[in-house]
Amino acid sequence: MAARRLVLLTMGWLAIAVFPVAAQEAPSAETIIAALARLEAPSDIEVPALRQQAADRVKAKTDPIALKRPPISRELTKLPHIDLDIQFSPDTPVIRPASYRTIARLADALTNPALMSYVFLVVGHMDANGRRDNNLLLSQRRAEAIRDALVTTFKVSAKRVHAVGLGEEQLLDANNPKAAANQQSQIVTLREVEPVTPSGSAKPPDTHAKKSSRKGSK
Amino acid sequence: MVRAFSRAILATIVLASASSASLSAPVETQSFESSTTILAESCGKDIEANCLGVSLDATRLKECLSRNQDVVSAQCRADYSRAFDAISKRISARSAVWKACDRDKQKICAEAQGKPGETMACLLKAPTKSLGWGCNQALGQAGYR
Repeated sequence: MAARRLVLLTMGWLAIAVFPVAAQEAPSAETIIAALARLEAPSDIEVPALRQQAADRVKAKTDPIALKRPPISRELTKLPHIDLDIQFSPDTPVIRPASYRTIARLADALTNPALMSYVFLVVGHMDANGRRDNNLLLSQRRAEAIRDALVTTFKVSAKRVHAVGLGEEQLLDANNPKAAANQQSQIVTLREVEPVTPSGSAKPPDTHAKKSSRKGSK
Repeated sequence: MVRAFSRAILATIVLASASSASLSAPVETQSFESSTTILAESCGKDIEANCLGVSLDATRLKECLSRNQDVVSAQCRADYSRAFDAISKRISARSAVWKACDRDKQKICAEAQGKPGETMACLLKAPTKSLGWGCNQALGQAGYR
């Protein structure tokens, strides 16, 4: 009996010890689809406004202590989303080859019929190590790098993928601001695309790309 | 005599299966995951060593790897063009569906009201027989069926 309890206990500890490693295994395209497909109500989140809110908060040094810092947008946390572990070269927005597969799975998912009708937001996050303003900038550039990879390499429509960096302003693990889990990149389902009408392709191109390249060249 | 006869039968079977394969079974293009995994596995180290600052960008990666042909590993040299070609083929196959299924879509998927996901779901739900040959081929090549 005691031996059995010991075995169970050991198994429990093993599960706890092994889980973080297992969690790093990239989700399959099917898992991504299942996580992103259920949009109950479209969000009215405006991406430029969100970016501005984060910038304003960092500039004003609001909520200086990272522990339990409130998120910039609670609405964002309620939308369908998936957290992806994407590796970048240190202090750069360069996606490392070890993460190509994860981005490719995301591209497979976004071009699958189940997700074709949706617009997505790539959200970059950082842990609370280093300077707050640097983290905000780097997370923005990393989110843009993911968006750019989807758009340039896999030709996902630029109209369907937006990018925003929230630095350490929307901690994924607010109780452990310095934990690596806070560095994950999030993909969020925002709303449905505009229906395609036979003559309806004459929409103005989104100006988002211009803004991002200006920021990126800083 | 018997041998010649059986050879003829065999040839007929081979021919028939080959032609029916080309007529009915479209060849699915590789998923982005599988072609990109080949790229990362064969060229990951070469990219990190020779393509500093290059992110996942097919055009820039291709340019960097071809510029460094002399120093990249034999495995990478052998695989990278094929991997990028496979990515392009999947992109073409997925975008070709819309044109290939345009008439079918108008005929049977008006209820989807121009929403791409719903339209595609409608096409995939429709019996194969009710869709044109080109549309069926395109759906298969895109990996949607």
